[in-house]
Amino acid sequence: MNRPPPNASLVVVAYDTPDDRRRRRLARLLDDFGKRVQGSVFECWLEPPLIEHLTRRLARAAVASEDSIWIIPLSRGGESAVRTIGQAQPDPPPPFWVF
Amino acid sequence: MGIAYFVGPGLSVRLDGRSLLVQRDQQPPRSLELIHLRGLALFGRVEVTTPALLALLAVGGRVVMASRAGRLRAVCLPARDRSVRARIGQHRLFFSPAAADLRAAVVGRKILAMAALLRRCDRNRPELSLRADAQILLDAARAPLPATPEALLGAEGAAARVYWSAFARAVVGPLTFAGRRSRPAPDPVNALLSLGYTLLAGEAATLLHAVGLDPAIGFYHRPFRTRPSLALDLIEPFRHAVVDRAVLLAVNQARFTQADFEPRGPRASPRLTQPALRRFVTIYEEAMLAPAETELLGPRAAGCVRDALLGTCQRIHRLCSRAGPPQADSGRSAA
Repeated sequence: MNRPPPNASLVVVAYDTPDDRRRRRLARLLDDFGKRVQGSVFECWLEPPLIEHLTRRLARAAVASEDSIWIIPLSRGGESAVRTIGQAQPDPPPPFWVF
Repeated sequence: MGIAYFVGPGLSVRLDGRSLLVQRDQQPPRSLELIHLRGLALFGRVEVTTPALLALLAVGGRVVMASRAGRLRAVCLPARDRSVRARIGQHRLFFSPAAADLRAAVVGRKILAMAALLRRCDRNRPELSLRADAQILLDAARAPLPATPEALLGAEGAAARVYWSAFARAVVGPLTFAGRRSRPAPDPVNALLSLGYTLLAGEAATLLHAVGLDPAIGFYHRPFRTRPSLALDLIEPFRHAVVDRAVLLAVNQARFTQADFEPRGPRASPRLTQPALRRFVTIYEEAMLAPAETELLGPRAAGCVRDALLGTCQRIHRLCSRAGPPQADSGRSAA
């Protein structure tokens, strides 16, 4: 696993909605913030202000009476406690790139 | 969240959805998610499409452009609302008696950082006998510093002579170093130091722009044309605690040799080869992401070194804001 950026932590976002259009909208939104790891589950590596920003965006996109969204931030370094089975692996972005 | 460094020529960057596609020559492109990017640092000829640039700026990223040899050329920032109160306060502070204290603080912290690095070197390599030099600098930093800019320059100069003489003794790798010289840097070690300072100054300039301050109006480094004088004030302790330390380690571990440098004649600094420049920016990034040590950067340093630089910038911003008119950002008269 890459060493993650210093101020970023793993945030797992899981959503459920009965509305197909909203489901697609939520997926498109989350595509901007992270990577889909299962049908309605995204892995995001975000700094605290971005977690707040994502939460607000999701709140605007969802219908509270019908939808269910879990935003689960792990504490920094918490990804080391994540257990996976099979091909899944947390995949943090590197802290920097050099081309 | 992270910086992407591009060492040209032969690189192109274009937008692909919410990612940047980076391609070197005809190799397969690589993808960078915009959400993970804090900014781009471009060295030499790197082609970046306008949509890519605008998309990066739209998510708050910044772009620093330098020549292939590492000379800062331009800084590109999002056009966002920034506090004008802080900028007015910065101008007021510049002309106020309080500027003298700020000047002294810049020099004091610089000399403390010099002393701290030499003390650290002495602990690791006692056979180099750097303790006495470190103590001279520590005593100089703790003594009351002179009030006038000219006398402060003299104090800094005296400290620098002690420091660079000791630093030269600490360089034991295959590259030689006889003392600090720049414009041009005459040898590889000086070229590495200058390049590190350029990267630091570029970062500091973008941070200052981002908080609404003018990087050109400094307190210790006097304003001079487009020189980023306030950025140079900001980075003073970081030069020694971060760049000098990283360069010293790299040189002593023989991570650079003469073959990594292309001579450019007596009027220009030697230039790093492409692979060596990539290696240097990696070393620089690792130094900036390392935990900030209070022994080297002072008691308020927290997080990683980059966080500490941001913290210093924010303190300057608060100071300048307090000196500015409270209603300046409300759109009403600033008088």
